[in-house]
Amino acid sequence: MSEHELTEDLLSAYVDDELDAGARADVEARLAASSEWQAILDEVRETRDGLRGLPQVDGPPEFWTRIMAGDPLQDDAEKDQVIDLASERRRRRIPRWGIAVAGAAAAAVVVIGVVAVPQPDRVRPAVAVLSNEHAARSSVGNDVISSLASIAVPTRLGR
Amino acid sequence: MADGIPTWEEVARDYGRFLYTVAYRLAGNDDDAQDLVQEALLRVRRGLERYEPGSLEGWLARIVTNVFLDDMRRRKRRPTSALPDDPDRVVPPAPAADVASRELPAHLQEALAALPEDFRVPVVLCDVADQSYEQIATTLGVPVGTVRSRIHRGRRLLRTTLTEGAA
Repeated sequence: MSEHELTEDLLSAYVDDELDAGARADVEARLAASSEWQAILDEVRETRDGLRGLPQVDGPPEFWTRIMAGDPLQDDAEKDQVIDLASERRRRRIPRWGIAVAGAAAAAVVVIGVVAVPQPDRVRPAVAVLSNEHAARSSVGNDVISSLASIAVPTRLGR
Repeated sequence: MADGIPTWEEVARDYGRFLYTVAYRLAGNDDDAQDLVQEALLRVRRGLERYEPGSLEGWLARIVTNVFLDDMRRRKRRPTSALPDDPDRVVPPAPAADVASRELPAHLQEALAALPEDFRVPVVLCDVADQSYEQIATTLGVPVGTVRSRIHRGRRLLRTTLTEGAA
């Protein structure tokens, strides 16, 4: 007797040739000693053979004509159908009230972001004013900034 | 067929009957079988690029089984009509004077359709699609021991249904 438990479901595995040598020997020993197991084996084998003897089934010709008339994914209607099914599944996963709550939450975040969060001060360097002040303080004509003063004012850089 | 990878047309032409048979044994009727085959072929078309040459029938059996299981889950979420698994809907085979042996093939499909899905799927994969226990375990995502147990219990249930129907 090997390590595995000798259970009845080994009989199906036995007729399907799905047992290793040890288990197979154990089952055969049990079969030799038990008429009950032998009867179950006969029934399992008969059922299995019956299933395997069922004829193949085929679809009606018009079904295959429709299928073979075109690659299913080349058919726009099929594409739409696939997309629609996917959308439907997604809709089913997220209930409508969930979508509404999520939308309201997103809107609230945007509003709070605009209203409550302090905006950085806009820096508007009054370049014209600065250059004019500098020109007034420094000696005329000998530095680079002073020479720009007359140009800087009319260009309205301060606006 | 290039590099062992068939075209979609080759799959539909050469394996269509195999796909249909597995679908029909799983679903139990032509309408559902046609839906399963059509959806399976769509998935085949999308998955052909990823197909690694090997057991094409195994790959196809896995696809049609997944389509079937997806469909069953969808129906359970939104039940609209009686399912083949519904025991109240299943009409037992008509009584016969002779028992199981002679009547076995005639009523097998009805008994198969009446089998709970957990047992029907591995039995069909084993006895119709000719898949190994290991392949079935991979397809269903369960241990091989579970497959062995379900196949055996499925066959025993089938036998019981057939015997009771014939008694």
